[in-house]
Amino acid sequence: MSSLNPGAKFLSILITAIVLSLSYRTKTNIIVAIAALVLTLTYRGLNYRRLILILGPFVLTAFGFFMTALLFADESANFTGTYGKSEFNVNSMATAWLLSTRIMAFGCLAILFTLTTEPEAFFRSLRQQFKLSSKFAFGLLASYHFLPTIRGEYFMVRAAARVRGVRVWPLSPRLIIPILVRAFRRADNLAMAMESRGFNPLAPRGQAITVPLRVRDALFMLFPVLAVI
Amino acid sequence: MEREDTLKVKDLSFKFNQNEAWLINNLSFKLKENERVLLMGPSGCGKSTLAYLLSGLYPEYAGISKGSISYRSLEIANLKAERRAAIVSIVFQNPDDQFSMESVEGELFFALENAAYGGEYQAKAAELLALVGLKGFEKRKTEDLSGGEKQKLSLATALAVKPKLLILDEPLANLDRESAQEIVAILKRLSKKRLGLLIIDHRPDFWLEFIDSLMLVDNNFRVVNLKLSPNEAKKNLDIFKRLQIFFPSGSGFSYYGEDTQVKDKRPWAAQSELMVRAENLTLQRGAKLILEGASFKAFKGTLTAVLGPSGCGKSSLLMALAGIIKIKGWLDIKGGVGLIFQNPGFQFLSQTVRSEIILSLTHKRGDSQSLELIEKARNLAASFTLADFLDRSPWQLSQGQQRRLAVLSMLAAQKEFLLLDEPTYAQDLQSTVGIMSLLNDELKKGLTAIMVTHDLELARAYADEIVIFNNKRLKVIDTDRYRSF
Repeated sequence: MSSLNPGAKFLSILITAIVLSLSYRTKTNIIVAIAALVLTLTYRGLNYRRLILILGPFVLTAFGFFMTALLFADESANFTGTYGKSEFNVNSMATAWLLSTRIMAFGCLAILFTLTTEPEAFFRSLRQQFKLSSKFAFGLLASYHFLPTIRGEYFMVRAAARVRGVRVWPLSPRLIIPILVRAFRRADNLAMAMESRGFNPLAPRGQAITVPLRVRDALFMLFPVLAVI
Repeated sequence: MEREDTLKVKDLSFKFNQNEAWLINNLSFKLKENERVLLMGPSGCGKSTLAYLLSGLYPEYAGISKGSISYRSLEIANLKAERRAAIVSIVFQNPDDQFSMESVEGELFFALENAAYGGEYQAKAAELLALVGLKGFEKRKTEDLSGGEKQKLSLATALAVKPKLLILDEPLANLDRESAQEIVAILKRLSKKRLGLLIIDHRPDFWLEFIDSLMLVDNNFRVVNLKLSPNEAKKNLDIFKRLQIFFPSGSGFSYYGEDTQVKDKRPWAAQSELMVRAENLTLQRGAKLILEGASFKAFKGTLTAVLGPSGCGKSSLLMALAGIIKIKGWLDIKGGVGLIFQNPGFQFLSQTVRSEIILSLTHKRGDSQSLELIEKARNLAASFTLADFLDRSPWQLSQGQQRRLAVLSMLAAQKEFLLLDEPTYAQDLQSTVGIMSLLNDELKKGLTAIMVTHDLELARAYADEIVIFNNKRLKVIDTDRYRSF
């Protein structure tokens, strides 16, 4: 997975998701989910902790949907089956499977992309293969790196208020305004720093790393076929 | 052979808003090719603004300007960013706001790509990193770097675009002595190659040995001395003292003059009440162990200075003492704790300087408009030379002014125990002494304080006890012994 072209990978996964959204078959869902998960697991730099942390909520949601569909089914349906002493609707059993596997399929697709792709490489490939403008690509990248900083600043501003004995609520304007002001100033500073390093979105750029498009990427474009099976 | 004037500034004026007076008024000067100049002036006078103007960032990003800045007959303002960067590049004052990529290598690639570098990128990045003493840092994340390392990376990225003139805006302000000396040595080496330097610094000492001249400006950015040679500078300390900025200290001089005896003016300190007792403190941030088995005491009315290399965890220690982050061990503090952050921007919670001070005085906003409070706020602001800015937003102040306001507003909150993280960073002599004498007044009234600083002389002059923080340990050193340390 690590050697795939991130842009091509994104496209392939996106097509799979679109095809998946048009199909309503439990089997398709299961195949896609398992394939995505297996591919994720083959990624060498995989962070297992993150995988479990992200997978957890998906499993829970899927299970929730499963139970909901099963227990709160349409009463007017005719076919019922029994499991032990409890009765349930046969249709609702199928719906339950369909809904829950669908969630898992979409979840695993998302995981496949996010856990096996480096943001910088992704933007590089979008620029190189998909002609994304550098203004947009670097703007997005810079703001992506902004997010943890904002979280850190929120922590600092809240701490500063507490040390000064000023009472603040988690979303009180006292906290939010300084963070917004700083974010604007920081955006300005960052833009100036980028410009001072010669960044001009319209000028021709060098390429530090070329993200290749290879046969394996073409093969991975067959991934959506799974969704058609 | 006489070198040619390459950078020409002619009748340059600048202001931020239409209805303001000019911040820089009719400034003219020239720089020769590869000339190395140190620009000095009181804090807040507009030195950083000039840096932004020279590199063409102002007035594009802010303000209105008149006059001309040209490099070899090319008008800087008319050039595209990539061509401008190949003439002038800046190492910015705040090391946190200048990286747009995640990794050290990515940051260098970004700059090299902008310059449409044609060679082998990885090798070039490695070469630039080796040049600034960051060999092997390629894969590190920029956000994990210490202040000194960030400054070195910023220097490397600025060099990546091959500027003719490199502007350094307070490049050493946040560094320990060793890192500062490293950066100076790097710049000294670089300046032998074809690179002009315009250094903005409050302290001349590090630079005198290899710069060509000093340019001194006053409060209103009027040129007091255009080309003062380092030797003349050492002889004419009066000029510096008149401007109330740090003069070349050489040997036998002290910035803090009579105040060096402040320690003896606090004779009660030794027998006074124990305010802070810490035993066996262990501090960890993430997976990194910062401090191990540290013990210390602080008595009422005393100032303890903490010195140590950049990035050793001094700021984290202060945050732990303030109860913001967790620390293991026995920690007993009597009374309320205040903390002045290294980055003052974090602690402003109000829209104007006045309400910021009043907020500290009252802790509340609602009932804070009494005339008495407004008067008190004005007096406090005046004692920190901030009286002219009461109606400004704290974020509109210069870095130096922001720091003064941060110190002021925390002192106004009247805590028993105050932690100060580099309170005199990026301050000129006048405001350094101003801040320290106000702190000293509070100490006399019974405040206990711990201050992190990189300024050895400041610590020696004002602290009752000096603690060296190094290799996860705290080592207490008596100030008398420290004189010969």
